[in-house]
Amino acid sequence: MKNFLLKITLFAPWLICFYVISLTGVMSVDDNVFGTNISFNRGGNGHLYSKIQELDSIDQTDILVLGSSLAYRGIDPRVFKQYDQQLFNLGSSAQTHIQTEVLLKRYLNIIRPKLVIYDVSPYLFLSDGVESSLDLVSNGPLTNDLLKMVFSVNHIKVYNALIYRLASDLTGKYSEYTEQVEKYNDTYISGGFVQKKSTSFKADNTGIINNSSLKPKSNQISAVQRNISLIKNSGSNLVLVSAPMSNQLFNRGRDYSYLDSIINEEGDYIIFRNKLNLVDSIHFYDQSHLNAAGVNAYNDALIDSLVQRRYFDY
Amino acid sequence: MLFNSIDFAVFLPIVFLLYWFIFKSSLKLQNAFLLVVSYIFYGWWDWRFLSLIAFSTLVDFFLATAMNKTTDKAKRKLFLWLSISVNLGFLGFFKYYNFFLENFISSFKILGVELSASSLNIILPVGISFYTFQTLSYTIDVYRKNLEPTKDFIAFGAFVSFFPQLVAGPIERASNLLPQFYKPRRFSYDSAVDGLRQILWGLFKKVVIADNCAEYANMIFSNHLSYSGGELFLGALFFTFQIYGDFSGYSDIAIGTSRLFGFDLKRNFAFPYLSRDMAEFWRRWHISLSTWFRDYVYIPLGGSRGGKYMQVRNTFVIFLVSGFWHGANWTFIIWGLLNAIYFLPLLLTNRNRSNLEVVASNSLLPTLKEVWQILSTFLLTVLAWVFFRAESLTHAMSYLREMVSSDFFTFNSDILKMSSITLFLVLFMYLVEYIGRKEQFGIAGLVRIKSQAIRWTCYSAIILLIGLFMQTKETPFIYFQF
Repeated sequence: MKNFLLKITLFAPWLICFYVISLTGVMSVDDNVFGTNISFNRGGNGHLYSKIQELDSIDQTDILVLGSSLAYRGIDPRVFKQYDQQLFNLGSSAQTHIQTEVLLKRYLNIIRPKLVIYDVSPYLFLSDGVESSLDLVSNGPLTNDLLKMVFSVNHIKVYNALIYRLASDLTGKYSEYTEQVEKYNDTYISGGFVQKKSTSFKADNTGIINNSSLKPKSNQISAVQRNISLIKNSGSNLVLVSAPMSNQLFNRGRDYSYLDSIINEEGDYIIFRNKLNLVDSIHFYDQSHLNAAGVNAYNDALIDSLVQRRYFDY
Repeated sequence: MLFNSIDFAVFLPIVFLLYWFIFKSSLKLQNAFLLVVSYIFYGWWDWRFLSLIAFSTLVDFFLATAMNKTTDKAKRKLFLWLSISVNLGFLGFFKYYNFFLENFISSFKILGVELSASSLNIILPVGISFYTFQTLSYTIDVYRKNLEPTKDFIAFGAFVSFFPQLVAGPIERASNLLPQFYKPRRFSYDSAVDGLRQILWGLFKKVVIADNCAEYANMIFSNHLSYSGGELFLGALFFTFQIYGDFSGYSDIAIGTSRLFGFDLKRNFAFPYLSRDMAEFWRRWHISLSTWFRDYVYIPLGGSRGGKYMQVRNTFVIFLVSGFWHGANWTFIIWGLLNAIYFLPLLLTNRNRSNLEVVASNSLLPTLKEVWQILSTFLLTVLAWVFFRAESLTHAMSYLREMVSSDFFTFNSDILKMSSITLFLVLFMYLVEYIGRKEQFGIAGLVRIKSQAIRWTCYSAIILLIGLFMQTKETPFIYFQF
C-alpha cells in the first residue's frame, strides 16, 4: 500500500508537468484545432484586454458600468460625456455575475465611482459563466479572486485556459501584445464602449416561442446579491438596469416577472425591456444588441431616468 | 452517482482510504462498510429506490435459506418461483408496465374494441435489470445446488449492491462474486495499478469517445430527413462507437474500481468490433448478459440437445428476450430478432464456433480474408444498432430507407468536417484496442513496458487527450436506463 500511495504521489507532479508543457505546446500551435476544450483569446470579442489596460491608468470615474455585451455595446461614454459625466464601461463578453464579482473586487475601490450602473438582463442568469470566464482568464487581471472564480465555474476549458495563461505570463509570450482598435466589425471607443459597424437587423419570426418563466440559476442569484452588497458597502450609488430587447426576442422569449420581482427587492431597478418603443429594423443589429440609433435612444432614456432619480444633475 | 462526475472523483479515494486503513482489521467491517457506501452511491441518484434493492436482498436471502433447509422438491420449487416472481415482478412493473398496457390497448383497437386505461408515470430505477439478474442468479444457483446459501446477510447485501457494478454490470454470478466477500482481502499493488489503468482507459472511452460520438449521433438521428445517405451512415457509425465506448467504458471503470478493493469481476467486453462473425461478436459483447441468458434460459430450454430445430428456436428466444431486456420498446425486440437472423446461417452450417481465438492471435496483422470478415460483421452490427438507437420502428425504417435511397456519397452538411477530430479519436481507440487485443483491456499491455517513464508518459498522454477532448456535460451512461 505504501508503495502504491508513494507512486501515486510521485505520478502527480509528473502528470502536472506533462500536462502543462503539452497543453502549452498544443495551444501555442493552434488553440482551436487540437482540442474541443481549449480556448484562449487574448483580445477577445469585448476588447476586455484594452479596457483593463485603459482602466489601469484611471484612478477615478463618475460612473462605472458592469454587465455583458448588452452593457458594453449599449452604454456609450461619449453620450454621458455630453452631460459632464465620466463613464467607464467595464462590461465584457457574456459577463455573468460571477465574473462581475471578480472585476468589482479588483477595481471598485481603485476607481471609486459615484454611481454604478449594473446591467442585470435576464438571460445572464441562465449562463454557466464559461464563455465569460474564458474571456476574463484570457484578458483579465490575474488575481486570487480570478483563481477562486475558475474553481467555482469548474470547467475543463477554463482550467486549460488558466494553465495556458499562467504559462504565457511566465514565458512572456504576450508581453508585446497590443490589441487592435478595430476588429470583427467592431471599433473600441475609449471608456470601454465597443461600437458595431453593421447597422440593420432583419427580424425573423420563425424561431421557437418559449414563454415559460425564466428561472435563474441559484449561483448567479447569490453572486448578484454579493455584488450588490459590495457596491452598496463601498459607498457608491447603484442602479440596476435591464437593457432594451428587440421585439422579436421579447415576443418569443421567456416570462421575466419572477426574475424581475427578485431583482426589484435588491435595489433601484429600471427595466428598459420593451419600454422605449424601439423598432427592430431601425434600432437593433441583431435580436439582442442595439445599433448606433438604438444606443442613442437607450442612452437618452437612461440619462433621463438617472437625472429624474437625482443620481446626477444636468 | 456517475463514474464520470466530480462527486465520484471525491467519493472513490475517500472510500478507498477508509476501506484499507480504517476497516482493514476485520472482514465483517469491510463488508459492512462496502454495503453502506454502496447504498450511499445508489442513494445519491434517488434514495427512494434503495428500498427496492433492500427488499430484493431480504427476499432472496431468506428464500435461499429456506430452500436449503427443506428437502421437499415442491417447496424448493415454490421458493424459487417466489424469488423469480418478486424480482421479475418489480422489473416488470417498473420497466414493462406501460409497454404492455399500451400494446394491449392497441391490440384491442385493431379488433375494433376501444379500451381506456391511462399509463402511469413510472420512474425506472437505475440499474434494476442488472441487480435483478444478479440476485436471481443466486437463488437459481442455490436451487440447483450449485451454490451453498450464505449465512452472512451483510456479505450478501454487499454482493447485491456492490457499488462498482451495481447500476450497469457486469452482471456477476453469485458463484463468482459472493465467495470473494468471505475471503480476507489483501491489498495487491499490481492489481490496484492494473485497476487504475483500466479505470483510465474506461474513462477515456466514455468521456472522449462515447460522449463526442453522442453529439453527432444525436444530431443526425434527431433530424435524419435532413441528411444524405452517407451522413446517415456516419450517424449510425457514431452511435456504434458511442454505445461501445459508453458501455465498455463503464465496464472497464467498474472492473478497475473493483480491483482497487480486492475484487475480480468478470470480463464484459473483449474487443467485439474485431469479431469475424456474429457468433464471435456475441461472445465478445456484453459477455456477462450473454452467458447469463445461456446458463439460465438457453440451457434450461434444452440448449442444443434437441437437434437443430431446438437449437434455432432457443437461439431466437434468447435474442428476443435479450432485446426485450434492454427496454420496453419494439425497437429493442427487432434489434434482438435481427441479431438472431444474423446468427442463423452460422448455426445452420455449424460455423458458430469457428472463431474462438482473437483475430491475428499469432501474427501482427489480420489476413485479407479476416479484414473482410471483420468489416462485414461490423457493417451488420452498425445496421442493427439503428434499431437500437431509433425512437420507434417507424423512425428506424425511415432512417434505413433514407440511408440507402439518398445519395450515399454526398455530404451536404459540414458534419464530416465537424466530426473529423472525433473520427480520428475513434480510429486511435480502435488501433490501441487492436494492438492490445490479446489483453484484458485496451492498455493492459502497458504493464510490460519496463521503463516507468514511458509508462507514465502513456498514462499522462491519455489524461491529456481526456483534458483536450472530453465532453464537459456529465452525461449518464446509456445502460443506466436498462
